[in-house]
Amino acid sequence: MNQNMIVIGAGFAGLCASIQAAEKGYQVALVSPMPSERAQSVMAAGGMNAVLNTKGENDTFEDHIADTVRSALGIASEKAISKMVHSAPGIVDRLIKEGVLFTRMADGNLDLRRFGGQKKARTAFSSSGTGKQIITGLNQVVRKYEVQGKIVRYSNHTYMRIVEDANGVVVGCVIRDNLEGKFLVLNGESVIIATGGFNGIMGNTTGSVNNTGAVTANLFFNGVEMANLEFVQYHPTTVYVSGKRLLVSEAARSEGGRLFSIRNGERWYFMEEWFPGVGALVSRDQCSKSIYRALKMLPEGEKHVYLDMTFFDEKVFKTKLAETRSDCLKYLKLDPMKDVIPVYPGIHYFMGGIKVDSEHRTSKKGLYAAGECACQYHGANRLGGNSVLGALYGGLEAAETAMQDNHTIYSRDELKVFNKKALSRLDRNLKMVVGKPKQYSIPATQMALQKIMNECLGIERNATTLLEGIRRMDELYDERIKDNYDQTSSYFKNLQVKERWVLSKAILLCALGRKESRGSHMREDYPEQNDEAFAKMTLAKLKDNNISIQFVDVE
Amino acid sequence: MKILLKLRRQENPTAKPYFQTFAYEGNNNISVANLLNILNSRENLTDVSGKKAAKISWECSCIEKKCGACAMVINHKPRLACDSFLEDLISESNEIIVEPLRKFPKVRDLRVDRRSIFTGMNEMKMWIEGDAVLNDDDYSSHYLSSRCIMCGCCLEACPNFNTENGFMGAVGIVTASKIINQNKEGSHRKEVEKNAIEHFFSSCDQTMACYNVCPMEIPIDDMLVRVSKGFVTS
Repeated sequence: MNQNMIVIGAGFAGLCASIQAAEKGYQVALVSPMPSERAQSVMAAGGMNAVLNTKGENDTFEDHIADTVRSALGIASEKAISKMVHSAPGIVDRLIKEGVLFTRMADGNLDLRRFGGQKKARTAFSSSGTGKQIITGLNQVVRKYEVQGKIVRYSNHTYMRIVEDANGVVVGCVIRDNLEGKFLVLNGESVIIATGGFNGIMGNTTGSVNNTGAVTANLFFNGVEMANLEFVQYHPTTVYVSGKRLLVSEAARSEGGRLFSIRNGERWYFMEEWFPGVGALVSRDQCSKSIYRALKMLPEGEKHVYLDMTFFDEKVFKTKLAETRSDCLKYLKLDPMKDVIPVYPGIHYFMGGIKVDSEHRTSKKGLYAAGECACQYHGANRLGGNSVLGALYGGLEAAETAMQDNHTIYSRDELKVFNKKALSRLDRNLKMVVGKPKQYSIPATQMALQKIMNECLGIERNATTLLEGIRRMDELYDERIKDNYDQTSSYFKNLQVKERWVLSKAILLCALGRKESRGSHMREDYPEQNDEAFAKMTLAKLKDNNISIQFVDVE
Repeated sequence: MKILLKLRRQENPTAKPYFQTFAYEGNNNISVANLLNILNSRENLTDVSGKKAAKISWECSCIEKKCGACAMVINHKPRLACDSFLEDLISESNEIIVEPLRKFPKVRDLRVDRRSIFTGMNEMKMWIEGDAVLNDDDYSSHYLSSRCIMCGCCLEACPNFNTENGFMGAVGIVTASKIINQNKEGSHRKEVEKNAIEHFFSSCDQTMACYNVCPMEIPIDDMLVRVSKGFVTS
């Protein structure tokens, strides 16, 4: 009998998991609403970390582990990090063999970038489009397995819910064919979730708007445990474009870009005032927090921060900031060679997500998670270059674990019973929302939810704003979500609203419960790190309609 | 100034298409992608005559010209909605006409079925057997080839393409230029070359309409020459 694996999501993690399983003779169903070319992974510009030591800096695995662990601030598994770090050079090798281009130095060795928070140059890259180059390479490999029939792509399909056996073990999932509008049930001994960060919960992020968080929310709603949801990385220099945030490369600051605002009619270089000698070159979190504080000190109507790069040498724009300049010209109609750029910190990465063990098992048997949707490797803070690595390695590792675990094999007839139950539950849930009296627009509700999240879970939080957020969230539910059905949105979008609302509320409760400041989680009312109580993982769980938050030891 | 967005709509693949016009007043320095999002998030979406309208169905992911999801026909030219700005589009008239790509089967409103691009890639066997051959001189060309976002704008503009005839147009030859080059001499490479002839060279009239609409500005002419030069020398 064929061994079957279902992979949800076709970015870095999903493609790697599919390839790993197909290589071992598994039959893989690869589900994604859009083809891999549209995955958020293609937006990754910076590169991936691997100890390749091509710069004569004696970089070692121990260094990479130490940098990652230090940045995670005690709430990520060292065991998992160590395995990832040791696998990284092999992954780069594998990608090169698959035809992925990495930028090389004159001596032919791979060039490496020095990213923030790392002691050695360690980030392999492909000009300014690493993510796109890697996805193209992985797609080639998947294509070959597709033609061999080992991987079947279900592009244009959306995950709806899991299928469980009598003991709650995952044995498949229900997906929706978005072209035909029909439901389809897939069965497999394992389901791997690789759906990216929950951008849609916050809105206004630097990532893809297609990473809605709907799958994560659905799993949470169905009892799957989440971890460290309150850890959200803000990138200090982003600009507002087309309803989302566009990144202004970190290179702008590392080349000496100056941040200022206008106070009493004059330029106020707050970073240089607060961090003499270092200025804007502090860590991402520090910088974001400082911009946020400066803005709070300015009067209404003058709350703007600008990035000044006008004094850079022309050469710098040509060699290191070419994309940044062209983005500013295109989207802001501003030329950073002549104009200052208005910036604001924007949400860039979710360190938390679906709780997984060091081998990517979720709290539900048969269900695995990898990539940004999973909480692994990054702890309180993610290092630049570790997200691409974490997603690629995570996908491989999740598939390996899924293949090694013991699974109950059911007959077609047995599966039919489980499938029928899942479909009827889905049907029942859909029927429960259809035809409800209120008719508030779903996208508008979504925006209202995002607004609450952004206003109450900002860069710096405190108990007052968080409690206010929870109160407004309950109000939103009573006013716009309860007994509502928007006929102009699809019925499953109607169904998803409540699930997202529950996940959003859980995020606020996690942030409220962690009464300390650690990495990206900054509490105004608890400015210190409290290792005794909180050098732990925040565990969120939904049971009997109640969200429980606990702090548990890190594996 | 009030801007009118004239949208070609279609409820399902077989329904009759119709135009519906929406009004927008505000910042003109936004993209069509942004405008579509603004319209869809209105509490009550109504057209210019005040009639209640269904939400506009369209595909969108990165909104920064990196993924190709939002390709559509705007003012009669195939382009990305995230890369088309109102102030540039209204220079002649304050009405912007937005339509789905016409060459692909319709799904709903601006959404079309572009599966033929991806199945075509499989038919052309666009992968590498064994380890990739890497050559410093080809780096830049291979890099540009991999930048193709498979949006379909090139095929929309191409007079030789339809979803039935197997012709793969620029997206096919741009991909093939790298795949052929990175494969070792041998049977798979020969097969990909044969596929490039069958799915491209045999039907391309070299109008180069693709060249002017590629949002990634890929030097399609260079790629085409690289592949055909390979045939001559091998």
